[in-house]
Amino acid sequence: MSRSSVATGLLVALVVAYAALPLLWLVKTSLTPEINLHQWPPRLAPAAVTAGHYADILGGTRFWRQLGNSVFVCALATLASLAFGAWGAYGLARHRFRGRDVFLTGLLLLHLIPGVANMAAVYRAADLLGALNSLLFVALLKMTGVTVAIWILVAAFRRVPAHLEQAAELDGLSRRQAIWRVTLPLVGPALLTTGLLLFVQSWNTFFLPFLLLDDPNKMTLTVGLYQYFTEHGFEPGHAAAFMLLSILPVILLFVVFRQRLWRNIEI
Amino acid sequence: MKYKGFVAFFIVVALCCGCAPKHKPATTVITVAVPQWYAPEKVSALGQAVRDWNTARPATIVSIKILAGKREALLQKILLAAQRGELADAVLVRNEWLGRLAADGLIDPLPASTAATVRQSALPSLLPAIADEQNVWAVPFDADALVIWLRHDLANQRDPGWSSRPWTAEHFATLSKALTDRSNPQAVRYGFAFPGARALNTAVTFLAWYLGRGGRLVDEQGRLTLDVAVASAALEWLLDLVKSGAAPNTTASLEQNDVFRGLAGGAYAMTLGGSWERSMLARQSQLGGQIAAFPIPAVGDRPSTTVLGGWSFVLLKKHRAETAEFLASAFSPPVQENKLIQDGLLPTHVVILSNRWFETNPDGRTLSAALTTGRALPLQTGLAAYLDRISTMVAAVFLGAETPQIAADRAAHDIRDFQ
Repeated sequence: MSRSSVATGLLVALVVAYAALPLLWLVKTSLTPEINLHQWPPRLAPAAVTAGHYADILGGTRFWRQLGNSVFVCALATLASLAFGAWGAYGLARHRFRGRDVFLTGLLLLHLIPGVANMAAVYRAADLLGALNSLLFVALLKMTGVTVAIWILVAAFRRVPAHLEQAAELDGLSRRQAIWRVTLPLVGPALLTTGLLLFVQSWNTFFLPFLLLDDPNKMTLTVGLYQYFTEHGFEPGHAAAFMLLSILPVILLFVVFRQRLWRNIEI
Repeated sequence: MKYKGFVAFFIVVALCCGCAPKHKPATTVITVAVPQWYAPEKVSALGQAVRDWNTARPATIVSIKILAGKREALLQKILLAAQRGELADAVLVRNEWLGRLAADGLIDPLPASTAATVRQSALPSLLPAIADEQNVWAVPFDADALVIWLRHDLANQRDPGWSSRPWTAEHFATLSKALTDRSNPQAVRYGFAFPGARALNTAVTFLAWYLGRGGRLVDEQGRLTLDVAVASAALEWLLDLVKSGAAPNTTASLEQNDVFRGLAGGAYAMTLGGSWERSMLARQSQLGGQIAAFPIPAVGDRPSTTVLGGWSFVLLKKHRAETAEFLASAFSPPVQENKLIQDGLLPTHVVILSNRWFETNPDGRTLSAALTTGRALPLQTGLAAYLDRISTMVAAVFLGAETPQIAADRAAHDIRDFQ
């Protein structure tokens, strides 16, 4: 093994350890009995282990309801962003028209505006429309991911030669059928990657649902986590268990789609 | 048409059912909103009170609505929702918010009979927070007081005669130094810790020291005030504890929860904290049995004093009569006694002060004295701004940005200006 590969390996190990440490600390906190959580000086390994925090969360109904809310908002926002994004990206990739590049740059600029800058207006709009505590409204607002989708998918559509569609049309397919049966399967991996990115981004959103959803039954998981920061103290064991449980669905998604993702990255 | 007879029979039955007179009595639903930490599953006395009420009065059902979020966010939510008139029939709010809610016209005074009950039976020390000369604005549900939490095992070890000496500020400072342990540089244990970050709790804990030195909250004209000399002396005394190493030099970044965690884990031997931390210590600390509540130390010949706070129910615009009745029942001695014994939360009803719990519980005497002699923050519109300015003053001193004298002087000036 060469020196440079050893150095690279060490560097990778350091980066992985740096990224994994907070996660490991969360696991440790979630498994430590409440009575040992504030021990000073802190210990790396827990003195005792309990599954009580997980049992409390999974045994209640609120976690499951909030999980359902998160899945609903993220799935709807992701699917809608992908559908509109693919539609727009195809048009932008295939047709040359005046102002196309300005339009694309404009989309990017829109995405650069920090979300928090719009929040007062968003809250006012939700209030006027009677959409406070509406999961559908939150999903609609999270569809701003469409700009990211367009940017990623324009490049993917450009990589598919237009003559493939023309050949399919010569074989008797309509334009729509050619896109559906030839082009879309070829950009499938890009769609999948974009979908996962959008889903994770929606899943981690805190401020927007925090602002618009105050009924505990309508909250998403990120806002539900807040229930452990109370007037009468912070419940670190429950909070850590809740955090780990709430990131499990995303990890699961990556596990299921990892082969396809790798293939796409290799391309 | 072999099913013709069956169809005809079905239609007749459906019509009969549809036209049958309804015997169900009309039910009024009263909605009472409470912060998430008062949810019935967490405060069993409230859950029991609601169940008892609903069993006894099926025509007027009480439904609890949970308000999620931290304390600061909660007030904003309450203000917005109350303005739109869609929040609930009653809300449990922090006593310090009452002045603002009343001034904004979002709450109305209690009906005469409920007001009379509250005036007659609430802890006299709490009344200034919820009532003025004309009106009572809220039904007090929960009380809290600031106390010193002390590791008596360590105190006995480091200073065996500590409990026989008068509990004064001088003795307290000496004990703080004696309890500080630097033998392990990786895990220094400080004798005393208190919150110094810019936050509401910092302001309230500072006021405990300020009041103990004879500081006034309200001047002769009834306006909020800060006595510069007293505030400056209190700040100087606290700063000396940090400078001497008996309190952490990170005080400027400590919030109430950090201070509690340090006490629960053993990083601090004494802290200034809330009475609500009693049940948290039992749950979250192996040292719980070695930590007891003590009064705020007396300064000179002045008696020990503390700050009383709490949460009270306010009435909004709908179903006022029925809701007031329910609130009175939540304030009644049986519910308040349950709250003390089952949930470990202090009562607001004066009768409960004679409960045996205060004699048998190790912290009972200190808490009872705090409820009797403590000072509640007055019902004033500008109270939130006052507390905010005080927390800025404290944080500025512990960050080293201003001297106690200058910080107190500026704060007093600002407080005069905004009124």
